[in-house]
Amino acid sequence: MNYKETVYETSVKEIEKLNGLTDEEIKRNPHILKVSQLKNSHVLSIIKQQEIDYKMKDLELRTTMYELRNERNNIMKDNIKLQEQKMK
Amino acid sequence: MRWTKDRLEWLRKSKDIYTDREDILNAFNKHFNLNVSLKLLSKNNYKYNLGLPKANRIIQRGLEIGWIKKRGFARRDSDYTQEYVSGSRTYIKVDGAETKDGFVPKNRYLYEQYHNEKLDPIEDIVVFLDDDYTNFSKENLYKMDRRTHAIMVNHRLYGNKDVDKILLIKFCEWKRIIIDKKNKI
Repeated sequence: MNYKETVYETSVKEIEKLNGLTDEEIKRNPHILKVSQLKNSHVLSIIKQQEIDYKMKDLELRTTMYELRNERNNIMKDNIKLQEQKMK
Repeated sequence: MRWTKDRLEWLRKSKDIYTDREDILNAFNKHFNLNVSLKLLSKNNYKYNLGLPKANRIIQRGLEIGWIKKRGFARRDSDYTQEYVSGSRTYIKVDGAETKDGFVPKNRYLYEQYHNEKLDPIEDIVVFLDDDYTNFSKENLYKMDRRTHAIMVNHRLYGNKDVDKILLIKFCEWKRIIIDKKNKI
């Protein structure tokens, strides 16, 4: 399952579950809330990890782009030098 | 048109005869058979340092219109625009709006119309799911609690390009419910 679907479905299910519980039920079983909180932290870590992955990918692409640009500039410089030599 | 010496001299002499720039302009156009505007005359008055009197009648008329408008006596639809954009927000004019100028944010107004419900001016905020501030379709507008929005900001989840906004909103709503339930215990 895609992580986006996982996060969305988990969030919706947990919202429904928590809204269905009364305050007394939560007081009797406080672990329900703790479990939900743990799940929430886990989901946040997934989201943040995805964000990091996205940024890493973006950085890699940018680096490649700058390297290619640098290479192109070097080739152009060499070309200009050659033309200057020919002119002389 | 050229501002020749005789024309400038005529204008310098005219300020002794007339007391209003509008009168000078009319007489000047008539005398030299021209069609000069007041704006051009004012521009050259400054350029050649002619020292002509002000167009008091026009200034007075403008001020009167402003005063009347300010007091709400002569209010016509054509005097006001029906919609304007400020930053990324679009405002729309609504009859019977509670705001001072009668303009309300378009996204809030349309959300109320689509869902036939009244939004709380402080607690509820309406966001664009696709981050396109010009897309006012029903599916794109989403109502959020202000506290949910605060959670979203505090977790630095805004501007996340890889994840859908609705997904982040659901996550923040879940978080808000946990905090609420925890506070009640």
